[in-house]
Amino acid sequence: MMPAPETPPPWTHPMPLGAGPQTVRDQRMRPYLDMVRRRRFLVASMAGILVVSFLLDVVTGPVDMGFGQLIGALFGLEGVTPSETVILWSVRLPQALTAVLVGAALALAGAEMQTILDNPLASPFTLGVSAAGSFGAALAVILGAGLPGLPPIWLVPVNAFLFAFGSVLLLQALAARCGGGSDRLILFGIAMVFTFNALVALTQFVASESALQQFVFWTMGSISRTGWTEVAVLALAVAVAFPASFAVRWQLTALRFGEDRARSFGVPVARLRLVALLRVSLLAALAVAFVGTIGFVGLVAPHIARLLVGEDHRFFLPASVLTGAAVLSLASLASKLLVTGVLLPIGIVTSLVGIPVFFALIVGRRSG
Amino acid sequence: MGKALEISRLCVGYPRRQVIDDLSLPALACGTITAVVGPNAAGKTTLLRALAGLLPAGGEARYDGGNILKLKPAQRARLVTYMPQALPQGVALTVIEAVMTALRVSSAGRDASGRTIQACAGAVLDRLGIGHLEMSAIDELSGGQRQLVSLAQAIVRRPAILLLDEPTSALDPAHQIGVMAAVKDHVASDGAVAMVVLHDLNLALRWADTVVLLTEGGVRAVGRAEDALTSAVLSDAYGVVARVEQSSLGRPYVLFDRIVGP
Repeated sequence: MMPAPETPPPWTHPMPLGAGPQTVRDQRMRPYLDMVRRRRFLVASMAGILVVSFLLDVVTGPVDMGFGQLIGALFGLEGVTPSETVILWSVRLPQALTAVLVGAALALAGAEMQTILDNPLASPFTLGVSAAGSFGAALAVILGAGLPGLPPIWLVPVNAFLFAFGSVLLLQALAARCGGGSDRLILFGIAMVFTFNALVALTQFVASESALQQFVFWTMGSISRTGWTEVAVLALAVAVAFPASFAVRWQLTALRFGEDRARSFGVPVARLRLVALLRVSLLAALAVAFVGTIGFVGLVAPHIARLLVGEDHRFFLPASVLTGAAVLSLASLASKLLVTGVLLPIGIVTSLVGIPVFFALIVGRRSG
Repeated sequence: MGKALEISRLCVGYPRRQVIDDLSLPALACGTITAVVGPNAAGKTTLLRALAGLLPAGGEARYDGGNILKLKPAQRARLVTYMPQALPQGVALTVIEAVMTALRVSSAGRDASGRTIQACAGAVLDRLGIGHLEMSAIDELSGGQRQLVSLAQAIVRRPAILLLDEPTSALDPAHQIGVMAAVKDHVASDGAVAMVVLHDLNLALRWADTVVLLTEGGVRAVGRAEDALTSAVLSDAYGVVARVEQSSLGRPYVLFDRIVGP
């Protein structure tokens, strides 16, 4: 029989390091607190980069505009021509904000997806969300099929949204019916990608030349067709989704240790996964509906965030969102600067500019 | 003796295969360690996962007047912590973050201050001898160190029922003893019940108050380690000729000689 210990082991005290001088305690805690401080600084830096790239994005364009004119037009000051005011309010600002919001939405969707599916390759596009959205858009552009009674300008985005959102609901229904964890969801998603790509190809096959051209441009992803309504809808979606996922940051972090362990810690994994997928599908479907296919951000922004701040979701979620917003904002800037006088589709630029940055980060990390 | 964990008529299975059928054990008293031993595929892990609520199970597992199998997940998580065999690969978190998360996500940890959580996590890591690793990335640890981190995640939650699946399988002798001593400390000071799946019968003989020997047919033997693990029982359960001898310190230990031939 073991004698009862006179003093319980240290961890049974609510404040185990309470004994001993204050300096010893502080020294013991310092490395972790330093790390937390470093991460806060990194997240703040990402926010800083985002603000700078957003401002540069707003003042850059075919019509030269300095920061003076920008402020003048914003606040209705003297010395600003009416055309500058119109350019700012109806072109530059909505486009720059769309870039930021779509980047944020796709990055948040990708970050949550990679965590709940425990797969670093997961992104809204891996699971066929964009393929489904493309098919919806193809139906509208090529066959003119869509919800009756809609103004023609809303036909494509509404169709894309319905198909993208529907694809995730179908995915969840399949997964719920067959049971199963993240592997099966990903396999369903891949099946969905191939199915919708085949359907898109079929639609393209019967398309007229002009409809085909219009559709191909849609698939390249462009932020030049969005206005304040789209900005408001996207802003609302991000404003609802981000706090909701930040509220479950500890559960998401715990899920990184595997489903069994998380469940044993009391995390309701099935519900967490379902609600997160709903958030993901809303964000991704809206992004696809308004700007077409911009695939790269949702995959890469979480990876960059992970390299910078790790997977404590207190920092990982905001860092992903800010990274995604900054990447797409910089891509929007680059799309105006890369070829003078030509506005490249942003979906192409994201990949061209983003991939070298991503490679540099991975290689730097390996050798570092 | 005070509280105890009483398992009776437990049935667990997967859709096409019943793994545990009508399993009953004598009451497992608080403050004791129960080793679950047996050949592969005997249902050791299944037993622990069922008690942790990770598999649907029939029967009863009574603790403190309630049936833990019938508790809601959140209530059960307050009582029971299950530690799977391994930490997953590719997790970009540090050791201290891993342990703090285990506490943060619990109902007790939700209201505690960050400093208290950090202090508790640090103390558990110190106790397990890995305090110096707290800022290391989990992915850079050795298998044994990862196992200790995994144990720290379980112990920091101070569960009343601690279920450990092979906590010593990747550890060198010093760490094996360290782990079992830490488990012993935890059950003694908190009055917890620990059920530990072990492959090393000598660890079971050395540390367990009760041994449960499972085979595919169910419980083959249960009781004090030196009573339950006899040469005849072991030879029969494992299909290997086994001897139980006395060491020079007077402790029993098990030797396996050869596979039982035709």
